[in-house]
Amino acid sequence: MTDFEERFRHLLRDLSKDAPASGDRATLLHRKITRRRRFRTVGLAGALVLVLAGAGAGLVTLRPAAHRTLGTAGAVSATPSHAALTGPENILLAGEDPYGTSADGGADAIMILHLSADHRTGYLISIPRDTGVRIPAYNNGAQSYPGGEAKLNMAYGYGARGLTGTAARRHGLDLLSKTVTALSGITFNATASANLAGVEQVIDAIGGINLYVDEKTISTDLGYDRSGNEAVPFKRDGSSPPMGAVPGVTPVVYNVGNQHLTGAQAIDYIRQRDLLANGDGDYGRQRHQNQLLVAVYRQVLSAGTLADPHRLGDLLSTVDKALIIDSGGASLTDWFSSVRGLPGDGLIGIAMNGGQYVTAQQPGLGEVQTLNDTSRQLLDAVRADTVSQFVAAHPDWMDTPTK
Amino acid sequence: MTDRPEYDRFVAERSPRLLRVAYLMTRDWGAAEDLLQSALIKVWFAWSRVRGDPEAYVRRIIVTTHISFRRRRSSGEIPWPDPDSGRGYLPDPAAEHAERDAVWQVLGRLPARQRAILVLRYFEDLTEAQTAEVLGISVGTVKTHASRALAKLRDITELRAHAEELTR
Repeated sequence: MTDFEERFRHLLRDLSKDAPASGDRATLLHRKITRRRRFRTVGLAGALVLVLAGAGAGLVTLRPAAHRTLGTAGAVSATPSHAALTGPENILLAGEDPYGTSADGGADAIMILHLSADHRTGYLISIPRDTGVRIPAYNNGAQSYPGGEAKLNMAYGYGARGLTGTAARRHGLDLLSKTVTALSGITFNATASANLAGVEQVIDAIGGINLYVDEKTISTDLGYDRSGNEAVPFKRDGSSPPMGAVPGVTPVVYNVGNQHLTGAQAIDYIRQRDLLANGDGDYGRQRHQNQLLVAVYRQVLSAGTLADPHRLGDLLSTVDKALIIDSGGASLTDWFSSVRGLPGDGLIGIAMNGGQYVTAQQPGLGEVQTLNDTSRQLLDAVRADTVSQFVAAHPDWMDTPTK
Repeated sequence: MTDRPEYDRFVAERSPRLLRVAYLMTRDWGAAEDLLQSALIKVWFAWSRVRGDPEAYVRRIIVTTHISFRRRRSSGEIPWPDPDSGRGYLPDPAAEHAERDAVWQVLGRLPARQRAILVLRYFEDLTEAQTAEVLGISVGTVKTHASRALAKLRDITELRAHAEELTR
């Protein structure tokens, strides 16, 4: 080995120990924010937009979908029931990353949609993907998993393993749902997963989205060169930090105010967390996602979309293709009509742990998130359908501005 | 994971070391944890088929997953320094660890496979033949890539040392 090789060897050892100072809260938090894969969080928005978009439109023409066989293998509802769904409902929403059920794919944007008994208010409660959980034993027919301690986002992979396509998604979702039930005691009336491409298509199908941008946001992903061609505005270097601005490329800027965005722009906007004017990072991003969901929901409910047969047709076929739903035995039509009464401002986002990181070390898993006592109270409130009282006692836990 | 105690033991004992390998590959602790987690899921399912040294098997999965991961995720998320922190992830070149920082930067700019070769050869201390086997490439390719990558590193570190002497 040459001197240089020997020197390099020492440097590598040195570099491998280069962990951020654990006492530095800001560094730690920043690391946490940095590590979020934007796509994964956004996928969640997909599930919700699709469920709610479908809800808005469902009464009108989604009936044919109700006559298809739905549900997971073994739990097929061949005969659609048209009984009205009453009482509180809990729906598990999972956002799938762009790689779906491939070897590296997963669904780790995970949210509970709780509908109050009168179906006038919906609560969106996101669960950190890194939450340390016990995943129950599961056999998907192709592979058997005996159960174990893991991070919540691993449940989808264990459930989907060995399968492909729809079967993989259904079983991934099924094990994820069982895991959240084991964690929270909440049983789900339905589960749904969707991917990022689905949200973009839904927004395009309704002719773009009118969205209030609440802080100036510079895109790190979308820009234009001098000839007006789409280009990436910041240098990418694989998984390493980008080296700075790309000369000659102007990034897209989303200015404060009411903006009309295409599907691609809206997705780009809610992916951003680096160059937000208020510097609120991942929290800002999650707020923007909530705002987009509410905007899409309102727009779908508006006469413009529902009265335009062309847009409605696009929307319905998009929803039909992009969404995987296990509607728990009830027909899709029943589901859609049951959430249709939800007003556009009746959706409230709640951040688990009040939006604060509650981190613990778990052997073999590294850092995991744990749920604090107040989060446990929130889950109890979901079971008891008393979330409105919880929110009244913890107004700072809401992350959707109610206006 | 009651029926695979050896797996549990293996994960508990070897994770810290494997995490460092993943860190050198990804240059980001969060990404490294994700990569290791992804590799460990694969290993869990392949456990009954693992013959001999499980660590070599995991190492191979980490490295090959990362290479294919980068290939497919070329437009995926990239960590970005916090605009408010004033220092972010980019080390200050004037800092006393200039050489170390320079190596870190150059390492990040290498193609994933070249970086994998350097990590396997100089961090994991594998031979050229073992490295070739892990990556499924020929020994000749390992030699070529390793010497190219080392040459880039040598250039930049010598240049920097020279520049520092001049400005001292």
